[in-house]
Amino acid sequence: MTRQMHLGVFTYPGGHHIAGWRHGSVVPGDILGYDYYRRTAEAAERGKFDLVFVGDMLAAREKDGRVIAQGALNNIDSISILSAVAGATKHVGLVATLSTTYNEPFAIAERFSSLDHLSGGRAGWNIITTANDDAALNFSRKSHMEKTMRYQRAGEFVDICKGLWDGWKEGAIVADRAEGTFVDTSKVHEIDHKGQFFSVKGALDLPRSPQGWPVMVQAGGSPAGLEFAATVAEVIFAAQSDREQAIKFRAAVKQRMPGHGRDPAILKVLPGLLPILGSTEKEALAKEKMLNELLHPAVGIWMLSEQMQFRLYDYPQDGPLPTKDIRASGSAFTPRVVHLMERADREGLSVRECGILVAASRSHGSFVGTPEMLVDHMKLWLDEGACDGFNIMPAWFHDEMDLFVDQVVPILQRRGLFRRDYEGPMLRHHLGLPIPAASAGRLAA
Amino acid sequence: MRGPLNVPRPVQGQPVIIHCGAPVTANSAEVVLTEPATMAEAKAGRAKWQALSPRARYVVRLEVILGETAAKRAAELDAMAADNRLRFVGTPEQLAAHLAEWHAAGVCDGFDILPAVMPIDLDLLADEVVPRLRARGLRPGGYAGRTLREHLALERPLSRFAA
Repeated sequence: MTRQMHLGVFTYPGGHHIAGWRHGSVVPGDILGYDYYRRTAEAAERGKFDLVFVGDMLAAREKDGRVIAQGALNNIDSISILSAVAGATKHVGLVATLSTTYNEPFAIAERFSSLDHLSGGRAGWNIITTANDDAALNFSRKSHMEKTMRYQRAGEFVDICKGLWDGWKEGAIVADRAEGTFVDTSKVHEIDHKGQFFSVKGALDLPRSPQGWPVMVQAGGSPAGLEFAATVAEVIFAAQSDREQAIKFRAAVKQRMPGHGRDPAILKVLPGLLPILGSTEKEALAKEKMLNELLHPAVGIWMLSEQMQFRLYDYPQDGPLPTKDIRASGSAFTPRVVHLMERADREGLSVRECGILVAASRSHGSFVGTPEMLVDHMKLWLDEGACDGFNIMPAWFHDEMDLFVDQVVPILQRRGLFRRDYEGPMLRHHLGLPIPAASAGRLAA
Repeated sequence: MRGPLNVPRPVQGQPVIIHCGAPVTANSAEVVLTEPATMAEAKAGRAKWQALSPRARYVVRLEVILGETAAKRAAELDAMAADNRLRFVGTPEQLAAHLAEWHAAGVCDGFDILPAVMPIDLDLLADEVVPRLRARGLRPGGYAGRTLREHLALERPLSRFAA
């Protein structure tokens, strides 16, 4: 049987093409309202998607200390969005992004348990350590925590959450009306955790949720992120635009999993994918051109400078990307930046071209063509072991999401590459993931 | 805290600020939720709050057990677990009269009603008590506004950056 793929949709205010919000069909004021997110979730469920994914930034988007004038907004709070759309949907998974660097484990364990209870077992947690330094200034800290330390904290954080979720065993709620006993207290456990970063007594104030734990999602691609993914991730949302690199990345995580006592077969790697579709290739290319023309040049240079932690504002925009100067700046580059610099050297890309490249898809993979061509592209990635599916990033909402759902999904289904219907009510069912045993958390007694 | 926030100003400017129990700072509360034991205690509490947050809505928390069998149900509930809240036990007609009496005495601006058993007491409240309050002119016929501030007739706060 053909291996089937998993699909998520990454919600984003306006759209994933950074100029997507300028498209005439987008009503920019809508992005702060419930209906905007409800429509996306309903489209995802119509297309039998595995999940809806929402990100988190913890700081306004800025350039030199001022909010960037030409960029779109961040999302409103991910848990709020997904709790709201849980009521409008029945199957689609709900993956919220929350940082382990700027939160406390008890509050996060409670929020994901709540989302999982409310949605009947559809919650997922994209565990991030927060990449943007400026978040520190909004959380009573002088500077952002160093990366190795952030991942150490994340490891302890996640262990505590699992312990809290497991602290209520199955059957702890007895609700015996005659006896007047609601909880069997012998089945509720404190975790009494004292560690490097946290001390948490427990128990959680909520019983075990339908999925036991939310699905554990991870998105970092650095060496520390990769190791962390191997210890906790069930799903990886990866920024991979090159197939060979994606194959290597997926293999590298899977290779590390047995060392942490984990079965690599469960891992689902979902690279971001921004499709630009047309009924002919020519039409799709014209759409891409139209979008790139909407891109304000300042946005491209700003995004590039932010990603490279290097000020490109004074370099000639049509000159080559000054990779020598950038490398000499000695910043710790993310894999996606390293990859872009290699490509710029190889293809002789200008500052402006790199800006468009980064801004258009925000370093994720993109594809321009017809629905049939896109399905071939997706199948190739799947067959070659570059991924287990995709997190779809529509260039703008809602037209481009509807286009994918109504024109690409039926082809995927016809070719046996994607489900025709949901097989269970929970996100773990969609992803073929086991429900964690109540004793799986390392901290639970 | 450097800011700015990563989303624009919310619809209401700021959420409605509600205080329970002891005052925190002057003028910080827009709604005060209290649990007085008697009408006299409520009156005294309100006077104290009015000095601190004169514009705040003063709301009294009241548990209700409603219907013809209310007294019997109250006894059953107390046999399982008793609490010391201010409580009303009686028919919807009696509750409407009771609330009107407190209102006329100027003790409070409203009530935070705790239905003792969901959904029995909540349904009776919505279906039997509210129409009687409307008939007495103590509740509007519907929502006049869209936001919580509008329901409570609270002003939308000015931004500190408005100038």
